[in-house]
Amino acid sequence: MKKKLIKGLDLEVYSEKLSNGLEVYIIPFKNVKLTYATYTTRYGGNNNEFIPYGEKEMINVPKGIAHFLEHKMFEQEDGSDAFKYFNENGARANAYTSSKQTTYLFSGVNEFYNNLKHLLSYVESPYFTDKNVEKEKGIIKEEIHMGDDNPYSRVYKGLLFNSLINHPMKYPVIGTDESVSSITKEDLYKCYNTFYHPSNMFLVITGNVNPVITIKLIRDHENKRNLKSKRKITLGEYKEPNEVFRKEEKLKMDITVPKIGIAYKINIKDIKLNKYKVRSYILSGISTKLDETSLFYEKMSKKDILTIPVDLEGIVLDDHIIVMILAETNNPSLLLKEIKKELKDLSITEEEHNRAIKSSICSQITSSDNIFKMNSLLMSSIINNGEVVYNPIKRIRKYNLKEYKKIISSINLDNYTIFEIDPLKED
Amino acid sequence: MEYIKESTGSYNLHTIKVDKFKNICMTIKFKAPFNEKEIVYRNFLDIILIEASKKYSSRRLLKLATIDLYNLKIYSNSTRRGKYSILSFSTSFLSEKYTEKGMFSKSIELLFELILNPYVKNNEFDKELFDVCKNILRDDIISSKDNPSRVAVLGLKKKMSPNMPCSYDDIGSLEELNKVTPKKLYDYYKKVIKTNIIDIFICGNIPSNTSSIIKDKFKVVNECIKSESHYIKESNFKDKYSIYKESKKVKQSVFTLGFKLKDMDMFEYRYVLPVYNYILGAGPSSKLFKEVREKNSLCYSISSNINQLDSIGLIIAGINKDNFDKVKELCLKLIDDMEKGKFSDDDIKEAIKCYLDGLYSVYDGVSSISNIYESVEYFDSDMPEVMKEKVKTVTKKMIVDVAKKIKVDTVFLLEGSLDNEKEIN
Repeated sequence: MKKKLIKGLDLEVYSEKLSNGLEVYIIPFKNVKLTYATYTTRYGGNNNEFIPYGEKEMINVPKGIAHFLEHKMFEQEDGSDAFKYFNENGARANAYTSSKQTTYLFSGVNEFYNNLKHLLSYVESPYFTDKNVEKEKGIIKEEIHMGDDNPYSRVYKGLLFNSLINHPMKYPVIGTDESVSSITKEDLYKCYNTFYHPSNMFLVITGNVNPVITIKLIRDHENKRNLKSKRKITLGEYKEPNEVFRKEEKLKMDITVPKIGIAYKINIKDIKLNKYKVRSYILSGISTKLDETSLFYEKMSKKDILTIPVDLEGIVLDDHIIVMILAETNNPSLLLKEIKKELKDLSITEEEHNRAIKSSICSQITSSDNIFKMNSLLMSSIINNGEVVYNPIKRIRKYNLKEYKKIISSINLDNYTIFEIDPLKED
Repeated sequence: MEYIKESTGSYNLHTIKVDKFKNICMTIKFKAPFNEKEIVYRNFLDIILIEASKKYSSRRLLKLATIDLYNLKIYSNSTRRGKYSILSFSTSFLSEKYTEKGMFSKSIELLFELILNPYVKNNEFDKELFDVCKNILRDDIISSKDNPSRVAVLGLKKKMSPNMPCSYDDIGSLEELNKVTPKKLYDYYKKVIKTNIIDIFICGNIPSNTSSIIKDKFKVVNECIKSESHYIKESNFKDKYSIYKESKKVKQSVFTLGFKLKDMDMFEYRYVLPVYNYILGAGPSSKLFKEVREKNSLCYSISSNINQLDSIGLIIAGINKDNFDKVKELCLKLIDDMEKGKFSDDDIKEAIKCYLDGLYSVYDGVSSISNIYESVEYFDSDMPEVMKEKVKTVTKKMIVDVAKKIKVDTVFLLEGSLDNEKEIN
């Protein structure tokens, strides 16, 4: 077990890679009673094409299957559901699936070690039958319909669909009515056996926890499984063209204020820098131009074009970054025109750069008081960078204006797609 | 941890010194009896007071100032808790250990500046600022209709408890908004400062002279009216529930079922009802989740929640409209089962454990510690240590007795009229 300080945050990370490949990360907090544990597989909505464990041919599974699998993991062979045990111990449990990961979690004050054993056990014991798979379809379809009625979610999904051509992120993690209907228990087992091997998974525990006892418990539990480390997973490869799938789309919904989004598809293949660092630079520049500290926002709010700041999102793909700007406005065409105009010049001053650095550092320190935020930061770091960042503040301080200028001079914001939702007018 | 409450003659100051966190939070609360005509005024103040001030005349300048103060955060909200409306303004910032000397005073001064020195010219709010904030509130009001769950819950409450505080849209109406002027708003602001009950809560690694710093920097003249109970008692009960349906062009229908609480005492409100609600519909092991979602696959989300201060509760679920009757019958049956005592000792044990688990972690952050003392001040709540002991005394008989005082009143369906296959382009 390794112990390393996260400099500047007064926190220590205990970590170990077990013989079966499972990675464990623990951050003890001295000031809290609660403990939060997350158990994650590097498997999400993006992974629909792969060679199943023990097979030789690449297969395509129905879209939405990673999320479906997450739902089904809670069902146990004895007919109970995994929530029950946590609830009986006064803990709260849940799970979620994103494009790159599926995470099972619980938080609680008492019975931590028993809850942890339960988390490991149920995630490691799939039980799928034709009947329980069929039963879940109605529930998930209602979850899909709930998202379909949410205009913000529709803009987000619409921008991804229209930006991308081949990349699996084009499609929603949850799937569609049709794809969910076609999922079988055999599909689920193939996905489970391929992606839920310990060498593809990691645990992050934050809060009131003793790292020595906890790692021993996990080690003992995992040793009993007798699984060998490192299994290579072969995923489908996607060559994503530079152009967008569709330049513009409009939709009508039963809403009152139009929602609009623009997604820039930026090729970063030739930028010799960590992709996530490139994303940070680009988002920081765009944010400086459009956020509440900008003259742009002040002008837009005085003209009644924006009443809340735009939302920014940056998604890192293989050779591209998709930067989304989402807004609610009564004048979508004028807002888009103004955004495009504003972003023609992404140069920022040294003062603006320093402000962004100060803001990021303070956010890091503020988050380090919170076991949920620290757990989430650690997870993102492992998923995106493949490692824990032990000196986040120094890392932020290394961002510099020279590098920023170099990056913005090499990106192109002429390649974008627009998605707009307008109110449905009664005839 | 050390808690001190003092009265300055104009407001109550609650200082909670706790050294173990990096963050400090301070909240200033203004409380007044609920008046539906004031909803929009209070929501307007909620926006305009943290948008700008005399010193920082725009959101941009204010935001820049907050970053200079090591990314200090400012929040506000306007809510109703039973008989009272509460306007809250909060700030959270890093303690000086993580910033620099002098930052504590500067940080709290910023929130005081916003509240005590609004951007006013000629005895009215600055017109340009007023218009910006009016647009924000206008969009909040109109876009609130875009949220089907919100529309359904408000529809239910309007039918269930007409003219009671819960039946008014807490975001206000465009009609009322259009009557507000910069002058009327400033007059209302002065009324708030003078007549609302004011409490300041500050929690974190604060200096020993915090009280004198605050008293020196936050000076107001206030009538210091005494607060009464927040609890509203329902008096109109039906023999048979009513059903209402409205439609919206969405795919998923929102099912709501409202009930009223009859003649409960404080112990029942605080300890028995949460246990009842946990068993009925407050989580994945609840009766509603297991029966309606897991066993019958009729929904993705379903839950029950109870508002003791308003003496009402409701069940909400996103469903397919064709399943309305099935969902309604199942919900009614599960409420009836509670009255008949059809739940186990294990269900009670689990509910109490969950309640206790929530209490054990209330000291895990500065905001939640502050919330404890806010609840004691406003609702005369017990301290967590007392709550832990009292909830353990809840018995099956007490839960059945409470279940008998739950009176189903109204079922309201916001019917999704959009076909699942159909898109409008």
